[in-house]
Amino acid sequence: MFKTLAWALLIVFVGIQFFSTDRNQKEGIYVSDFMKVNTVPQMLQHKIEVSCYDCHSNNTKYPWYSRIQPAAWFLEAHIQEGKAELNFNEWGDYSDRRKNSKLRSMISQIEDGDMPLGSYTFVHRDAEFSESQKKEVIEYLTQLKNSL
Amino acid sequence: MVSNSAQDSKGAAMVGEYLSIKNALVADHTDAAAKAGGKLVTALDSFDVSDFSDAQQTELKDIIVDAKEQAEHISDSPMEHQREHFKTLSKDVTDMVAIIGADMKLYEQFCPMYDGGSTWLSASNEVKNPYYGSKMLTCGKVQKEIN
Repeated sequence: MFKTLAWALLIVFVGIQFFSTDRNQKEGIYVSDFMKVNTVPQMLQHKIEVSCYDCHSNNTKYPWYSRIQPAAWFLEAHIQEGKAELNFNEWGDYSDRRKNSKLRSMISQIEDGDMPLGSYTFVHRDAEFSESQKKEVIEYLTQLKNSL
Repeated sequence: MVSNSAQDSKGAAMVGEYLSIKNALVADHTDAAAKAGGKLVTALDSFDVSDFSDAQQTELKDIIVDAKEQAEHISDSPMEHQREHFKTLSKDVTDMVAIIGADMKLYEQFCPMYDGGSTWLSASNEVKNPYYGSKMLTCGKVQKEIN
């Protein structure tokens, strides 16, 4: 019984490897990118790119296991959802109203520790915000929001 | 402003769902707020902007996209997040009503305590706070009468 189940699982696992997912990789320079339309301090620029851009831009730096199902599906779903919510590459195209509400959500999500996602920082330790980085980034985003 | 009655009723549906969310948050009912959030998405989707001037259409489309995002979040978030999105939504709906008008009297109310000061719309001049619910039900004041 156990053996049959193990075989069945193995077959399913091998089978799903034949399903490929679309990869979110489009390198390029976006004139409307968050970093282009705003004057972001160098340190924060790097931090935001490392912590946010994998799911909130048009170019993901994929980990090795992204080639393996079902991880690839899981990642793709997160990236699609993340980009629909906020795409840093398209920042300049958002109206002031939308910038304002996105900044509000960004600030509150980072403040509450909801972003970056726990499942993401679990494997990307460098994406995590230290307390001081958190403070810095929130200060910057708040200032940006108030300047709209 | 437009006097087309089908248009008025769509605006009324939109305001109606917004007020349902507000009432649910006043009563601390996450599920009811979520349900009304879903209905608001539908109401916003079916709102036809074609009768308005070009400038108003641009403004309305912008508001609708933003309001829809807030309503979607309200439809699948815990209460604390619903309230955060309700603040942004309130601004959107207030701005929308300023363009399309409302077929009922509305009161803009203000709570100085929530997130550095937040407003909302109510059909009654009696203050019932959607940002705190039962915790601080009567915190706030009427800031403006609309219509």
